[in-house]
Amino acid sequence: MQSISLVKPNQYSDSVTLMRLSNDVAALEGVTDVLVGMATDLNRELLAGMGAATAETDAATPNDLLIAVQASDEDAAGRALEAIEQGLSKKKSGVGVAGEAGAAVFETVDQVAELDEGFNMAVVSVPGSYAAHECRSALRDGMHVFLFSDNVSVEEELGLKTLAHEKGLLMMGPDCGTALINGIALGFANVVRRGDIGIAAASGTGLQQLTQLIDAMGGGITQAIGVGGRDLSAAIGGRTMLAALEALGNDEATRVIVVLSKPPAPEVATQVLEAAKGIGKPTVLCLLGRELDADLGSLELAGNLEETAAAAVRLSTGSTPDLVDPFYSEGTLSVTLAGLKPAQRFVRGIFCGGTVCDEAMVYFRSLDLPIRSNIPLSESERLEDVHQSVGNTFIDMGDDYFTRGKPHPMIDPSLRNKRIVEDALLNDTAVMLVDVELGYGSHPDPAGVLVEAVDEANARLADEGRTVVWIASVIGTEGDPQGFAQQCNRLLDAGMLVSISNIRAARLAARAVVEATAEEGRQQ
Amino acid sequence: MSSKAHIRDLFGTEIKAVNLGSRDFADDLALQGVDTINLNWKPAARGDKELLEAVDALARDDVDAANEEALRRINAAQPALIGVGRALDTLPGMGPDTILHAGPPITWDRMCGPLRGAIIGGLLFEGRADTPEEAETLAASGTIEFAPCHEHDAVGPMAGVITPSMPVFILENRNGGNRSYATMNEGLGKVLRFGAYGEEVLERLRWMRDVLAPAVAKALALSDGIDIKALIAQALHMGDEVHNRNRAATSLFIREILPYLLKADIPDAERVAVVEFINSNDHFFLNLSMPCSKAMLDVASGVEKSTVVTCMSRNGTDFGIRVAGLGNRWFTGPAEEVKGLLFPGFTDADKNPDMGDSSITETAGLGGFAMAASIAIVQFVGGTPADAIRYSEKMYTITTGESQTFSIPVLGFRGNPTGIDVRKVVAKDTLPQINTGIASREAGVGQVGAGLVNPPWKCFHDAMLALADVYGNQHDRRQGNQH
Repeated sequence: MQSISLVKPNQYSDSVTLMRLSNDVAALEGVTDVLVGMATDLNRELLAGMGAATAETDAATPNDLLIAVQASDEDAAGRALEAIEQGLSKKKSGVGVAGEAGAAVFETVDQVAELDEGFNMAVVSVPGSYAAHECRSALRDGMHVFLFSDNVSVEEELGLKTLAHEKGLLMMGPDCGTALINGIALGFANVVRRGDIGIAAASGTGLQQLTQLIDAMGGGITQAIGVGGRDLSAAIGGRTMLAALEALGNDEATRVIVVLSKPPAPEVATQVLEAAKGIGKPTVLCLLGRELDADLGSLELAGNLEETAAAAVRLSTGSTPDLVDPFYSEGTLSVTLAGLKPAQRFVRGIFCGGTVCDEAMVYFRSLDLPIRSNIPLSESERLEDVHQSVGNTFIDMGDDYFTRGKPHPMIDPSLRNKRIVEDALLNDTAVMLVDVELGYGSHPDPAGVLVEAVDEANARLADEGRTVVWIASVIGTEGDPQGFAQQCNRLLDAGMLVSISNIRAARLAARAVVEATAEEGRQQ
Repeated sequence: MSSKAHIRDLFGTEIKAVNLGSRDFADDLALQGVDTINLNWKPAARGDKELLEAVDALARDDVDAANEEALRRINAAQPALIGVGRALDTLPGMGPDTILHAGPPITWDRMCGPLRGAIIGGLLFEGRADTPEEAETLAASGTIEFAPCHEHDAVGPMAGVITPSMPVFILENRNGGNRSYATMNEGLGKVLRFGAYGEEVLERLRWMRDVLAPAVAKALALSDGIDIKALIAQALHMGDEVHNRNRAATSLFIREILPYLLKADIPDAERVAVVEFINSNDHFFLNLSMPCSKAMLDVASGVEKSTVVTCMSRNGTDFGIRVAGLGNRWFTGPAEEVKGLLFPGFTDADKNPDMGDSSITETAGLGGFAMAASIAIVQFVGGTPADAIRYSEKMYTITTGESQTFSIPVLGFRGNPTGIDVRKVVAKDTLPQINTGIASREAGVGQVGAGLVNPPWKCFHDAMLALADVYGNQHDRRQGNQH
């Protein structure tokens, strides 16, 4: 066993690059554990957990790079260090996104603003504790902000949104995953048709699913504005939501408005509803299946994302749309069900997207099917051990607990493969329900990564003489860089049922669970 | 600051993005054809969260406005050399037992070799001691009141020692009336400011007191004063940066003063000696560029909320800065080692840490900030012409604005970077660039080289926290909303 810890002072790299590098190097033969990260409190804690802390690593600051490698022997450790060095230097040589050779290197937002060349949007994904400062600079320089980072304090968020209001600028986030501004995808977003539907949403994957379904129903988007996960809390007061609604209300191209959120804090709900009602444009409200004790007036309430998309497109076109779901088929379901053993009775939903996980749970609940989750709808449904599925279980792998020191599973879906295989092999699993996100921001081949887990699980299930039902919802469009048809075909080839609508996938999963339970008697 | 925008204006406008953090987002934007700049980002303020919060607490329009006011005052100042006087009669607060020195306050026991040497020389020059040993005893006795030049409106290069009977240049800001003072430059070699106190040093000081000073005073009395700021502006276009290169400025000064020296009632032999003395010392003008910088910056001191630096100076042990919004408070840290070129025969072991008030020139946008105007300086302090240009360009990222009087030809006659902003220094982790002479750590040896140095981070760290402490909780945004 060979253990090496190093500190590289004053060498900064972004966390996504470093986490991905850590994962790549950890996959090398003979390497047992790897950490490449800035010396934040968290990373030093992780390092201590590896038993790799030294006086040097303890003294490192967040400006210093930590490298720790544990390997079976000296050779493997050497190879790991070499791979790390290579990965780090690769990142450096690639400066200059705009593609101009010898382009100037910019280090601060202010420098870009001083160019005075109309740079108007700051896309910020730096570690949360540094994010507020950068956003403040951007807003003071007159730029709108898309803030992907989380771990920004409530006080900082409030300060930024107040400043944005004073300046008449859009402050999306913190913790904002998705936006489409003028048809440009910011963060995680799909390529969809332009049209006359404007959206303001406090949900990332929810917003992706919604824009994709609107597209699949023949509608189009003017603007899709993410407000951030905490915007509609009492503390923040829906500041960005209200600003977004005002802007969409004043935007001539926007004829239909959609508001997407979990139920807001009551005092905020009143303000948001009044603002939405006051615009005077047809408006659909989606609270992801929850009730809201308030007078909705002219607002149309939709129960799930598919219904919301349908309502918006109907208001836009005047007729009820059809959902084009080209790879959907229930054909193989009965065959697969027949291969289940009597003990296989539950669904195991392993999600990358929190909102789609939530939507599936709300549906199961509406059927009175008991559920457990790491992001429960009510405390009684909380999973005791998030690593151990019990009954119908829905896991959001994008939850903070799982992403501590790791990339989000939409960026690196391999991180949920282990859980998928484990759960598929549980004696009582009948249905595996997963989501696959395509689009900008996501992994270049999420279906390919997922199929590795499916194939492995299927091979081992075959050894045991049984199967499970695999169902995937694919959030993606023809225009997405991954190739929509190619991605879906990979899933179909692996024996999965595929829908572009998460609620439809959830319905199918529920039906499979119900039928599996009903067939139990027959098989015995 | 930009005028109030509307979010809906964004909807019709082409998106141009700046990306900070994950490179993937920048790549995706570029794939969509969006003009994107991916920042070579690192955490601001060295990743120090407390410091970052202090910066953010003062990232306000009213603080920007205060800094603009400080810059306006600096730009408006018009220091002119109006006379020469005796320190005791001229400097505010100077007493018979006062000895002034460069840098922030320091006690005898912590003084470096050259500063102690200069004080010994000063006491011998004043006739307060007959031997160096007696002078040391007196200096350590507590009888002598040591104080920074800066606290008496004065500046001095290197040790910066000013004793009561020394002659000083008197500069007056004609647009404000404040005055500043500096000793007259002794030349190179064995000189008091490097801690030498031998007979030749004392002899020269007496000659400067008895011959040079009266002659210059008589000449100036015939003039309307000499506009030092204007001379600096010209010298910058002639290859000086007026900290380590004063050759052009000294020549210009001779052109200015010579007619009056010729007209003044001075014995011929003395007149010749005076002209020869000034003419033989390329650095004669340093003791004018320094008080000129001082007079310009002092008018910014006391501007409420301003985070502009009004003084950077060092005593060979500590480096100290002062900030406009915090008046006369010092923020100190250990003086750093100067990196550069050493004269033949000297090694790094001979170097004293950074010393002198001369970094007042950098504070005013000269010296290291003006290196692009003084390409030849790199032969003296090290580096390449490209470095000289880069140093100046980098200083624009930490300053409030530009000089309206001084400009740099090679940068398209851009005004010198002026008004160091503590917020920017800290946020951008970019310390002011100083070029400077290097003293021997042994008293009396003199200059051993020249090079480049930065202030210690601690000065700016502490000043930033103090600024946030005093001004951080105010939410005065009136000015911002009216734009």
